[in-house]
Amino acid sequence: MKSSYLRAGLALLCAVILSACGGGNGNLQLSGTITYNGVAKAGLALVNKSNGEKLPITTGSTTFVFTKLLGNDETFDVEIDTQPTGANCTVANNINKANVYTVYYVAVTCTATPHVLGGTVKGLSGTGLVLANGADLVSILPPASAGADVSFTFPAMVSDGSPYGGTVLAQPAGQTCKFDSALNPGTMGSADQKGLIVNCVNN
Amino acid sequence: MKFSYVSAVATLAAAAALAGCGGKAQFTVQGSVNGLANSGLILANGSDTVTVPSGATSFAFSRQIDYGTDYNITVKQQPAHMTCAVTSGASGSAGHNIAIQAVVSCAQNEYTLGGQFTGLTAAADGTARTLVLLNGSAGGSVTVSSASATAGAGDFVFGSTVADGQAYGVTVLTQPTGLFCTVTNGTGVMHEVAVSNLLVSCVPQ
Repeated sequence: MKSSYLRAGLALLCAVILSACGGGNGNLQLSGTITYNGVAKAGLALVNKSNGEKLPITTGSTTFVFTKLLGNDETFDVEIDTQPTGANCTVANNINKANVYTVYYVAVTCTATPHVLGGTVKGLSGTGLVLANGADLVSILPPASAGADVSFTFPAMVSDGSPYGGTVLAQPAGQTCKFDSALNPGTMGSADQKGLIVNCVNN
Repeated sequence: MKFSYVSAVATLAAAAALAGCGGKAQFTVQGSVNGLANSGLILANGSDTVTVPSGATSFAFSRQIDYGTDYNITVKQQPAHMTCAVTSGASGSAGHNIAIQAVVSCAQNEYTLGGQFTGLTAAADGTARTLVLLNGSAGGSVTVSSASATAGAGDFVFGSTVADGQAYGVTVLTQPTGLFCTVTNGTGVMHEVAVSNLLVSCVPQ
């Protein structure tokens, strides 16, 4: 009699242990990292297409964890559900079968959209003008017809949400040029910024 | 019959190969070079030197060394505007590996960008006032606070360094409340030494 109780108890114990480990209720947290090129933009949401779970990402988060746990060998497929406004995100290590070597390494990389920075130089007649946005330089020659506006763009694009500040690195011969402060320095918006103004006057 | 010829030839070849090793094997002290964009680099192995030209991706000392001879590659002279180091395989004994293969890595020198500020006083109620200086879109920014000032004056330095030969252009990205600040000497090209002559002057609006 006694031994049969014991046996039943053991069987129960075994069942409990087994159910804890396997089956649909997994114990693997599907997670990963987010890296940002440029400013982190709002609106990113991820989805695990294999089980349908959607995960909105707090702006600027560098890690994420899906709440539904995965069982061993359960497939996962993490994709971008919604792209942030003003940035583009891609995923890597995102499709696999779940195990401790795969579920923690989903890598999301978000790159803020780059835009052109430029504007117009007014009143330029001398040679030698060099404008700078930090280390990024643009040389500007005077216009063929005196007094005409000269448009310029910096060689490097500036990503959405990043600051910029133009300065005059080298003045043209016989003139002094200055950035108008209306839009400079500033922060790149969601479109090209071609509205900077540089005014030049004769010395 | 045929087989015996083959084996005879093979024996000869083996003998020739062995003869090639006769005496002591010679090793060239050599390696690869990464990122060298200026002239002036001289490497030394003891008294032996080699000048490595700008753009080179490898080097080799003209004098070979015997099997078992120790070598120690050092940087005798740095190239202009750069700092090079022997990052692996600088020293050892010839023959320890099949070939000597050191790695020399070079990087452009970088210097700090900074200066003084004046007139950045705390607000009337005692709260600190701050301004943000920007070195273009990629050069980083620095926040300057009246809390670190003595009578509104003090020093600042950007957290990001500027490479030798690279331009910088500093603007006031965020003005302090109630003050208006301007930058003097805010733009130039980094050359050989740290820049510390930027001057930010703030006046009440």
